[in-house]
Order: sequence, then C-alpha cells, then structure tokens
Amino acid sequence: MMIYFSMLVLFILMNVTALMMIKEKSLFSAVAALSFIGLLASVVFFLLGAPDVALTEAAMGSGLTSLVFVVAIRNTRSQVEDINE
Amino acid sequence: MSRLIVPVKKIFILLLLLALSFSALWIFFSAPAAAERIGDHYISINGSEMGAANIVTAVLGGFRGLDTLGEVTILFLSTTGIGLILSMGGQYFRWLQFRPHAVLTAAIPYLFTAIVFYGVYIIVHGHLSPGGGFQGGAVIATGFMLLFFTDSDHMIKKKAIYISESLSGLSFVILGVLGLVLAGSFLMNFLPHSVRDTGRLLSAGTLPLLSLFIGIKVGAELSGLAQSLIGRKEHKEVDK
Repeated sequence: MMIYFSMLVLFILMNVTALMMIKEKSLFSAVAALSFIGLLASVVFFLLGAPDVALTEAAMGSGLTSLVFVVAIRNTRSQVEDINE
Repeated sequence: MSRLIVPVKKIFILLLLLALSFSALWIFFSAPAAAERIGDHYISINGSEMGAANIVTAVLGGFRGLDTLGEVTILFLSTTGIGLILSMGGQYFRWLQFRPHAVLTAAIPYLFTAIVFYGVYIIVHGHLSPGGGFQGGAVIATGFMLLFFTDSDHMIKKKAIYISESLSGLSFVILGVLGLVLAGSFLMNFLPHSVRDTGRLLSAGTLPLLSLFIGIKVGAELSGLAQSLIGRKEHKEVDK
C-alpha cells in the first residue's frame, strides 16, 4: 500500500515537472527540470525492483544527458530572443 | 497523373499499417510460453556456472558477455565520433564559460572523492550488490563532469584516457579468449566459482574482473567525453 501511494506521488510529481519543462521560458531551467525527471524516474525504477537500472538512470539520465543538452544550448542561437544567456 | 498517384500512396500506407499490425499480432501470439523462457534457465544454472549473488551481473558479464562487449564497442565508437566532430568544428565551438556557483566550488573537493569512491564500490561489488561495471563507470564519469564544471582548466591527460581504455578493452577480450581456451567457450567462467563462496568479495570466478574492466573502460570513455565537451584547453582559439 505504501509503495502504491509513493508511486502515485512520484507520477504526479513527474507529470508536473514535465509540464514545467515544456512551459519554461529559459532553456537552462528546462534542462534542470529534465534532469529532475530523470532523478524521479530512477526512484520509480528502484521502487519497481530494478536497482541496476535506477543507478544507470541516475548517472546517465540526470547527469550526463543534461551536460550534452547544456553544451548544445550554449552552441546554438535562439531565433526569438537571446533568452539563453 | 496526380489523380493516379494519390490513391497509390494511400493504398501503400494502408498496406504498411496492415503489415505492421499483423506483425505486432504475430509477435504477440508467437511469444514463447512462460515455461521455456531463457531467464528461468539462467537463474537455474547461475549457481553451478557463475555463483554470483547478483544475477543481473551474472547475465550481463557472463551469459551475455559477448553482447556487453558489443555494447562497450558501440559506446567507444560514439565517443570517438563525438570527439572527431568536435575537433573538426573546433573554431565554432563555444566552451561553457559561466562562472560556477560558490556552493559547487566549495563542495566539489569533498564531493568528488565521495562520488569516485562510490563508483569504485559499485564496480568492485558488481557481483554482490546492484550495479556493475557500466553503472559504476557512469557514476565516476559524473564525478569528473562536476570537477570539469568547477574548473574548466582541469584536464586529464588524453594519453591516460586512451591507455586505460584500450588496456581494459584488451583485457576483457583476453579473459574471453582464456575462457575459450581453458573452458571451451568465449567468456566462459574458468576461475573457481563454488556456490559455497557466494556473497564473498572474491567469488564468482571471472565476473569481478570482467566488471572491473568494463568499469574502467566506461569511466574513461565517459570522462573523456565530458572533458571534450567542457574542457577549455580542448578549444584554444575559440569564443572571440
């Protein structure tokens, strides 16, 4: 019962964070939200009984992926305004 | 002419959808029954062939070691490709020049040691607790990434990365060939691995060695990737 409840809370949190990521004006904040989703997903994997996958998700999904995104944002220019800086 | 083309397209799309749905149904109905799944077989022979407490690592390093070799090769090729592309377009590359936050700068000397030790723990205990070479290597690379974020002048020597990467890959293949020679099949577990020792640090035969080599290789590759993305000295004449 406890696991179902925490899973529900995690799913709601993940959805809210995903909406924040879409609505966010600053691209760097959107990347931060993305890596937070990765962190929550690793908790979900752990609760579902896959600690191996949870470790990979925590290191790759929320660590190294955000690095690639940040470098990509830094190296491209926005067409609208310079909101990256 | 155009009147003729449009129905042909539609019919083609319809046929494609039909084929897709049919193949999905076919895959669903021809799935093996639960009794003949290979996972159960691996679990049943884990004791006699591997003696590992963590069956996931036993499958990844032992039973499916060849797939892991291919996976590591894919990772190596992709990091090499990224390095090649970045070195080709170096004059257009803007390195990250934002100033790191004071909290990160103050915390990283302590945090870096803790993260790297945690990664080493995951690698060394790959056959006992959750994790293994791949996860531990990724954790170590995350530590190096944070180090590069605080100080973009900080560099690992390229030669050290190359040497550790190729040596660990070579040792993985040598272990596999030794298994072929001594035990009869590639990556076979040829070191002593009795069920009695399951749970000890020195158990499960070649599995700890394999996860150690995978860990060194993945950690070196991903750290090199982070360095080529963040490091300042990689891109000398940039950002005018």
